[in-house]
Amino acid sequence: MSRWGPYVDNGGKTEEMTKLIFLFRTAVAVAGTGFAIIAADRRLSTDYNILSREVDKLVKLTSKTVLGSCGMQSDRNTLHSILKSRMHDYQINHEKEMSTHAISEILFLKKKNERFEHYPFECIFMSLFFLLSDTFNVLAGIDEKGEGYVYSYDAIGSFEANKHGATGSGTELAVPMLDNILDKQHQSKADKNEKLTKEKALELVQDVLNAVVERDIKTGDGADIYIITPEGCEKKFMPLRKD
Amino acid sequence: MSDFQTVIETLTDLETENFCENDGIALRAPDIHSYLTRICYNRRSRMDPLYNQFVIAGVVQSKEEEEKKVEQDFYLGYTDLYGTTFVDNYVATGIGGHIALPLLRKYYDENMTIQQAKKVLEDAMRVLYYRDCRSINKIIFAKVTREGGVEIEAPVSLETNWDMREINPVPAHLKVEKDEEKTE
Repeated sequence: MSRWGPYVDNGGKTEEMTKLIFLFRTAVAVAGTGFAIIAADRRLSTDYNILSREVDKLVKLTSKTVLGSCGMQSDRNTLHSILKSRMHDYQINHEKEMSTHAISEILFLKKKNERFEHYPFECIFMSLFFLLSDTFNVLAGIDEKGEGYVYSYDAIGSFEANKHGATGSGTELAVPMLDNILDKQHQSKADKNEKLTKEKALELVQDVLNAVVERDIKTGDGADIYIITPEGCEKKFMPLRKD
Repeated sequence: MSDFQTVIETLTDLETENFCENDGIALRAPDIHSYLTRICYNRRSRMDPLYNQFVIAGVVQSKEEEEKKVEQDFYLGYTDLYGTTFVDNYVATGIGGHIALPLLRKYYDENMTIQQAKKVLEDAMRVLYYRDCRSINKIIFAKVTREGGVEIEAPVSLETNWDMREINPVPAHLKVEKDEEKTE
């Protein structure tokens, strides 16, 4: 009898886009421009089944931060609910919203501390390679100065602040594209100081998502795109291939 | 089945408690769905899952009842042993997810009548009966309507046609005779 495992991979892909301050920063002392774009697809799948085509993977935690998670959907729902209630508590206690950096720390600590929480002690020895909460997260936001950040996490909390990130089943397809176009890796003659505008970034996100959907069976059906700027969070929907 | 019976008992207790409180607030489908999801997730986190996949269907009573229409008047949700949960217009569990769900997706129409929906479901169940060796052709329909509430109907036997040459091979001794007849 095969052993039942408590994890299932519900696939999907989240992708986050770079956040940069616009070049005219000096004039920006007044305006505070910058952006973060995060996009995630809407498919919920198990192995070779599609369970649903309309599932949200992104959650807007504050007006400046959006979290996307891939991996196991039930863990994702729990994590998002817990974080939303933490945001709510913080807002009530401190009368302001939590900053993006603080949220990233909280997510890291939460994952790290809850690593063994759900398991009774005996099970830890049997399941040394099981992860506790099987969600791979990507957090996008802008901080008080208007600069955008992406934090990508693994399932147990190690994280890194970066300018672009991807997670989910389409990571292997998306990250090389992002590395090539944004970091200009393997492009020796490219202008490395070229700055990214919000419109170009949006186009890039859409292109990368379309590319991943072509090849990855667990990604598709439509994407939610959040564009975070100091003015607020704008949500767009982009249809994707349904096959 | 035993886990399902446990769930039935738990939900019955929940309803009883709600009835006893008698505060005019009824448990709606989304509430029960959320409750069940939490139970499933909790059990799987304790490595002791309720080994089922649940479908929850109901009518959501909107507060602004007649004039304004709430987006989701009818609720169809899915919860499974891992706590995976979603809401959609068509849901299938088990092998139905592989075989019947594409059929439901193809023939789904937002403005379907009950008869049309029943026909689609009946056809899907028939395909499942043909394809799944562990199934039987007796099915029970249950429908939830705003006027009639929940109605679980009597079991119905599906008509099937097994008259196919591939599965009804002519026995060897009869085959020879038939060939002779043909040559004549």
